[in-house]
Amino acid sequence: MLNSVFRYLGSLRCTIWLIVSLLAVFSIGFFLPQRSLVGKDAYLKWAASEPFLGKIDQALHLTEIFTAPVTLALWVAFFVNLLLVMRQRIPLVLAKIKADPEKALKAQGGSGLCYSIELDEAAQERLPEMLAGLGYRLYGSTGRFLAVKNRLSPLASLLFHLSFFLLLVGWLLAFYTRFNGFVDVAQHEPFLGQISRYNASPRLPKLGSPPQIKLQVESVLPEVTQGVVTDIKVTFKDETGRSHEIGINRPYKDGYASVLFNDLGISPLFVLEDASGREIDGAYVKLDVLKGKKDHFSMQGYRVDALYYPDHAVVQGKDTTRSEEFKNPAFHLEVSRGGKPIAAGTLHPGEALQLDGVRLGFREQNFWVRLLVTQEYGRDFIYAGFLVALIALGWRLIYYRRELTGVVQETDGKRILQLTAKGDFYKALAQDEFDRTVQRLGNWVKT
Amino acid sequence: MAYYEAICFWLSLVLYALASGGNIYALVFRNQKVVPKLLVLITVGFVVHSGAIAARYVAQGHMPWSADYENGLMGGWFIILCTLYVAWRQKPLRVLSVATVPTAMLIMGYGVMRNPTLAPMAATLKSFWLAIHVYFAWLSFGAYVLAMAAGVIYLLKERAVRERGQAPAEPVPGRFDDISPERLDELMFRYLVFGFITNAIMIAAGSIWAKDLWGSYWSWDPVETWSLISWLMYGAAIHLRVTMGWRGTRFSWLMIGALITVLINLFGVAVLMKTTVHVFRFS
Ligand code: HEM
Repeated sequence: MLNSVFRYLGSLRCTIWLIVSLLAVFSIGFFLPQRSLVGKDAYLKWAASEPFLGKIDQALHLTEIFTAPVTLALWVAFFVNLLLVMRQRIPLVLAKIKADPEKALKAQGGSGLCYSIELDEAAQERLPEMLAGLGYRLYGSTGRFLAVKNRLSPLASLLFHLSFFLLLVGWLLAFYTRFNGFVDVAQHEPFLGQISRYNASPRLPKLGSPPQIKLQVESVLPEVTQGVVTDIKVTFKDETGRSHEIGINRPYKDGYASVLFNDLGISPLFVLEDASGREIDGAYVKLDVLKGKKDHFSMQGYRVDALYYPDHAVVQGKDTTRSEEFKNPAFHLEVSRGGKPIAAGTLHPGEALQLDGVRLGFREQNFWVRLLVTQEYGRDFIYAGFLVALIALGWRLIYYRRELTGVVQETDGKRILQLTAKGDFYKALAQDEFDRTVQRLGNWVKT
Repeated sequence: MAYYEAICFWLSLVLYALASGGNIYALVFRNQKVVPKLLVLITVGFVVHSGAIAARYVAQGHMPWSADYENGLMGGWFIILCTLYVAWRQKPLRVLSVATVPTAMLIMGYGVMRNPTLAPMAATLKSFWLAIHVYFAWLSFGAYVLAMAAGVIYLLKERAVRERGQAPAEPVPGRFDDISPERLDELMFRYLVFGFITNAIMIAAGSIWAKDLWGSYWSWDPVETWSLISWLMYGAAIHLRVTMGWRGTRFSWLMIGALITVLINLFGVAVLMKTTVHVFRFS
């Protein structure tokens, strides 16, 4: 029983079934929302709207399909199958790349395309040189030979499939060493790399330690055109005082760690002053108010609800924004204390709102940014995997192996070279190429 | 849509439609003499189509490579480009336009029904790796469409052969008679291989881009997941041929069926999935 399972695991039929099963599993992951991607709230909403699917999901964990035991088992089977099949293939591939003219002449039989060329002794002697000009290397004697182009190409098949192991090692390394944390930092606010400063709970590495990223955001320059974010430049200083600029698609990389821009928010400076103009309190508050969202902050017992207009205008007596561009920023504030409304108004930078005996001033508008700090090892293996896979694919499928077997026979005093041509993968399409090759060879022989 | 873009876009669709009508005529009435003229029509359509892309480029200031309409516009352009290229290299392959031109029209038509509005280039799309990713995506898409077209012609030819009771390798007079089924069968594989390699480059470049944009090479986002599904599907097809000997009719159906995964990749992700995680709240 165990033997036959093992034998099946080493078969090419099993490979097809494994690929098809992976396709099926990935399709489930495509059609059903995955918890890790959509978040808990969105998942619960979906489960409530699809009670039937939701129930199936709870039983089978289909919404965590990429890490489900069945998927992991399939991956294990995939790599076991790959190892077993490749182990069987190694001697076959080695035999294939070994250029043995006698064996090739016997094996060729009538399966290839046949050509004949008349030549003389001098031309026969020059055959290796002429074939080399066409990219073929001759093995054997000029009277009985095998000439091969891209002889080692079958090796690329092993190389391609083994590149999956490079990707696997890269992925495993990345999985075990990955640190992943979001941190919100306002302009001029230092971040000293403390784990406690990260939002929610950052993903800590299972092996190794988190990155020591220390920075202070100097400036944030978002560019919005017609409601589309066309660029954002975030400049920060590292602990040595060196300046770096990051943006969307332009992370800062420090070894295996990187800092990415993830999100933007408004960080206005609000100041509370007493009747004599003395500052009682003041802070850069981080607000999540873009795209019309409402947020609030507290100061000295006041609760301030804020709505933000990046390009403020008043239309028919109502506050609105002309665009998403930060051309004329303004806040609409509603201030309350103990649930009792106290004051409301719309402020531009430099303006203030009169409360009960104090003034709430909107001094200036800064930004805060959400940065994603990551660190993972394994990059080198992943890049090597991609590179090896691509080179091997090209080598195997474009520079595939072509072979010519040749026998010189003397009939009626004429010296005739009988050629048989064969290429991997193609026969009908290879004919044009072989016709051309043989024609060039014939022309050389004549000259 | 920009003014000149709209004119060029619709004009190219009309020219492609006329060419497709001509192809159907050639097929039904077994008159292949019109095929070279149809190719002229397709070429003119392609030039006008390129004009639409140029007009959009001028209006927006960047290459059109995001969202459904631009996917249709550029995807269709690459399909026609591949068709003209193979027809120019080998005359008998002109016949592939029977299936490729309607496919190009289909995706252009679908795209234009969705969101042809002009928009500046989002910061998320400004990346060297993205450019590589998109370029190879189109190349592989064009090659897969050619593989499908070779499959369609193979099946039509095979039916004609069956009707006439001729041996499959022999040319069938009046029906794509200058290309043998054996060649078509191998062409399917050749296009598939080209598509598969360019698809692999597209996935590798996309994953390097994802690392810069989202912080990880692979997150099982629906877009990523489906592109892997599509690549694996074609990988399975290569296996079925190389290791299980699938050829001819079965392989043709496989090439036609597998294209559905690519079409879903192009449009379906947006239609089938309401949310992909990789969106910036800010954008
Ligand atoms: C368990 C996993 C796999 C096994 C055991 C396996 C095995 C094989 C074998 C034995 C061949 C024939 C080699 C020859 O005769 O030259 C082959 C070919 C091929 N396989 Fe796989 N394969 C696996 C997974 C994959 C995957 C996931 C892909 C990509 C989607 C892939 C792509 C190819 C390609 C492109 C070829 C044709 C080129 C060549 O000969 O190498 N394989 N595979």
